[in-house]
Amino acid sequence: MAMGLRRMVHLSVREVLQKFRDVMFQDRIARREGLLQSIDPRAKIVVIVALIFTAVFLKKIVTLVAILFLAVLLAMLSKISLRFFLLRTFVFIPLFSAVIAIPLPFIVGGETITSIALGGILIRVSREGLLQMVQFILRVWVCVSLSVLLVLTTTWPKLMHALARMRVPRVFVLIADMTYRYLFYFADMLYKMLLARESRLTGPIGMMDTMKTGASAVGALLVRAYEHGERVYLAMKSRGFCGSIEILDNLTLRPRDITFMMLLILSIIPLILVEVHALPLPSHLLI
Amino acid sequence: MRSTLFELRGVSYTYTNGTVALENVTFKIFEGENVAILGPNGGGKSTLLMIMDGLLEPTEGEVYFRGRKVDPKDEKFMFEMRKRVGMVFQDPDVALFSSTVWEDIIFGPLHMRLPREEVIRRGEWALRTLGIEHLKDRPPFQLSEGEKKKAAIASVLSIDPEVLLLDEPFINLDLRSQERLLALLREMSRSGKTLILATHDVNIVPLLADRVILLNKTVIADGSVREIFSRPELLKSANIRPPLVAVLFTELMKRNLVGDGVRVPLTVEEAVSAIVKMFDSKDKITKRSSPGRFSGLQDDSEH
Repeated sequence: MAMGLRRMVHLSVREVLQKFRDVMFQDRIARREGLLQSIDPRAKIVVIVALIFTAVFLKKIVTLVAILFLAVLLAMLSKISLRFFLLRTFVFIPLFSAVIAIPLPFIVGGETITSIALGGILIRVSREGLLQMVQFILRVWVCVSLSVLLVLTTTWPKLMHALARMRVPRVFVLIADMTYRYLFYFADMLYKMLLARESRLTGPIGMMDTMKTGASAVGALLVRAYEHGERVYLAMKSRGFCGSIEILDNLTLRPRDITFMMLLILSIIPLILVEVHALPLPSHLLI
Repeated sequence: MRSTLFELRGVSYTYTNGTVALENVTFKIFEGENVAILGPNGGGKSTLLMIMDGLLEPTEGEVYFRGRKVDPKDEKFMFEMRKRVGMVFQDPDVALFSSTVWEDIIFGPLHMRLPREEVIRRGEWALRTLGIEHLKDRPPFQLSEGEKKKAAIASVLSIDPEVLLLDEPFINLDLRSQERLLALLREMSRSGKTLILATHDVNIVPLLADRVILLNKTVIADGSVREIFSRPELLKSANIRPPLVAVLFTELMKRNLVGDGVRVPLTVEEAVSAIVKMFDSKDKITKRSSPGRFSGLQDDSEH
């Protein structure tokens, strides 16, 4: 049993590191010829951020569902398979949020729709609590979907370039860029360290020993990362870096980018009108 | 009379953990020279290059570039120096920190504040020169070690520096890439650039350098490639294995098996010429039917 657990932990670390390369750094989708791929990254960032902000402030389930549909539609127009998109957006983060939101129907007061008797305790499920739970999960799902859409359809260099052009502080862009670039480098280094450890083992080791060697590997990686960072800084200095990053600008905002941006932002207006009851909807949808 | 490019006076460097990397290093490097800094691993070669590039400040001593003291705090001088001196780091992962190979290659020219057209022209030239046009839009972390090395070299070549500090530039390159880089460096040398190469690869040195500084924390010897490589015991004392052809001929000379006027060859080509010369002499001697110096060689081969 213990050996099985050890093997599972060990394998999962290796598998996570192997998958890391495939999942984090794939840009196959960003190179497809779809709608979002053809849009200037700055226009995409503006639209996605606007939609995320709207989703954060919306309370009605119908409006959140509308944004989710919009995200799915954009994904399909960008040649992302529905299955892949839903798996990517729903399986992990919204499921985690569901774990957080599950207690809401039981702790939020309001109209009781049902009650469960557990032993001698009667647990009430409130309508308001249930709605809050659904809202919360939907909001997380919408925000994750929109963010994933942006990242899937934009290569990392273009995204960084767009952020720099949008006057996001260069230091922030540089840190984000280098973090992304060196995530792989250090994941690879950790993977090699695990392989090196494995090659010197003659048999299974205990759980405690596994944890100890794991901790020392993480410590060694930290030291290496620090030293590597120092050398990268020297290499940058050697090529003229004096504290500010220069970029070669090759982004141009075309009429189609502006049209896309305007259309998507205009699509937010009916959602807000529904939210403030300015736009009539059938009563069963006004939850 | 060539002007002095670098002058090091009593340079020492101790890392913060107490490790002594360099001790009292003194030498001059002249314009247009090809200098190999040859030494074992941990001999202080990389540290020395970083000090010469103004990236590290020596614990003791001074470095002068074109007669001016290299002071990392003097930003104006350092900016001008960086336009003239380019350094290729040993580890390409250190030099490739951008999202794409292209961004890394134009990083130098962009930060030298060159005009946009010139930045693009130099970037494209560097890609072409190293034969890596196909890697232009690739993220560096997706490259093989050899490709990374070429991209790292291209990122320095795009600066078009007068002086190239190269830290083990041939490591991780396949034969064809090594030959290509060697030809490129020779061409750069012919065009008047100064090459300073830190290496422990004795086979590359005779092909590129005309002077060797033997370094093992301190300067052990400084002379022409032939002077240094003709003394295998000197190389061995610095923990460097001499070129095998040089070892072979030194042994043959000790046994009096090499004709007069044959110098210790440093490359395979030189060794072939020397052997041809030896056999030519032997033929002449045999034709005269008189015992010659090469009889020993014949005896040996018969055994």
